[in-house]
Amino acid sequence: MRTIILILVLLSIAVAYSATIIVTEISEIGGTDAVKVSKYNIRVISISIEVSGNVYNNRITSITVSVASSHPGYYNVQATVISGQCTDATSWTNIYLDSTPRSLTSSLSNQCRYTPPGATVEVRGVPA
Amino acid sequence: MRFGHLSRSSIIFSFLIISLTVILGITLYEAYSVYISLQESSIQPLPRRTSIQYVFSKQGSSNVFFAEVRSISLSTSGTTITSARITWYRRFPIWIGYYVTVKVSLKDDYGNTISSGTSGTVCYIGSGLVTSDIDLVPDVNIDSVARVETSIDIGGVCWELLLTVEPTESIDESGEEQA
Repeated sequence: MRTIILILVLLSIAVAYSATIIVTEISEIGGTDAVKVSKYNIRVISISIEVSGNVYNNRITSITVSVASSHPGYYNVQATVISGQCTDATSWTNIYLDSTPRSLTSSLSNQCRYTPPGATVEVRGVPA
Repeated sequence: MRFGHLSRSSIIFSFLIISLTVILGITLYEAYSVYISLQESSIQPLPRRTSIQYVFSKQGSSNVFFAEVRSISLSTSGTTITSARITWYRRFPIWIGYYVTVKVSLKDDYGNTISSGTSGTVCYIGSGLVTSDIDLVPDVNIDSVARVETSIDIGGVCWELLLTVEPTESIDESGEEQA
């Protein structure tokens, strides 16, 4: 009888300690309204590129992005330009973003050729 | 020392069992009493959308025959996208024109087009910047847009030589068209 009780107690402890929080995706933490965890959306309102000239074989020399966030705070913003096989990137660190768009301008180091069918610009923001 | 019929070893064993049970009981209580405290201000916000892609279209093949997007701007009402303003540059011969159509489409995370619009087809000659305001249908929330795609389609030759300037455009002294 004592042995059975002892085993039951040990099993209960094992179950208790194994009842850890199992989260398959971190966003589940804020999945319900019961736990108030803020979520942010990066909003890119506009993007402009500057080119080296009004000629066919021109290059992308700088970029201006207008970016906002649904959750006010400081963010690191990165812009990546992809044109053909060329990739260029620039970043802005510790930028305060809120719902009002903020304009960020930066020159590009690689200055990719702007060739058909065009270029893709990806703007990414993460909390600083 | 004897307690009734119990032997010394039985008493010690019972004492050990009772002690072990108490210790296990306390441990059990502590294990189930784990409390995790989270405060909103102490944790960073979780990502819902961290990036957006813009596609700048360029078409053409030579220094006197190409068109390229220079700027894409979304017009919003709150968080709802209603239209897009595309600024693009074209360089065509001054003696021949081409029909150009500018399109914009907004896509979600799965590549589905959730809103789109087109500028209409206009005949252009010469070179200069052009601004095209394009209504997007239907209106969509900006947070659902993962990719903004533009396309410049250069069509056939047109002969509306002196009738190429849109009503919203003007030409400055340098010959560049401006919105």
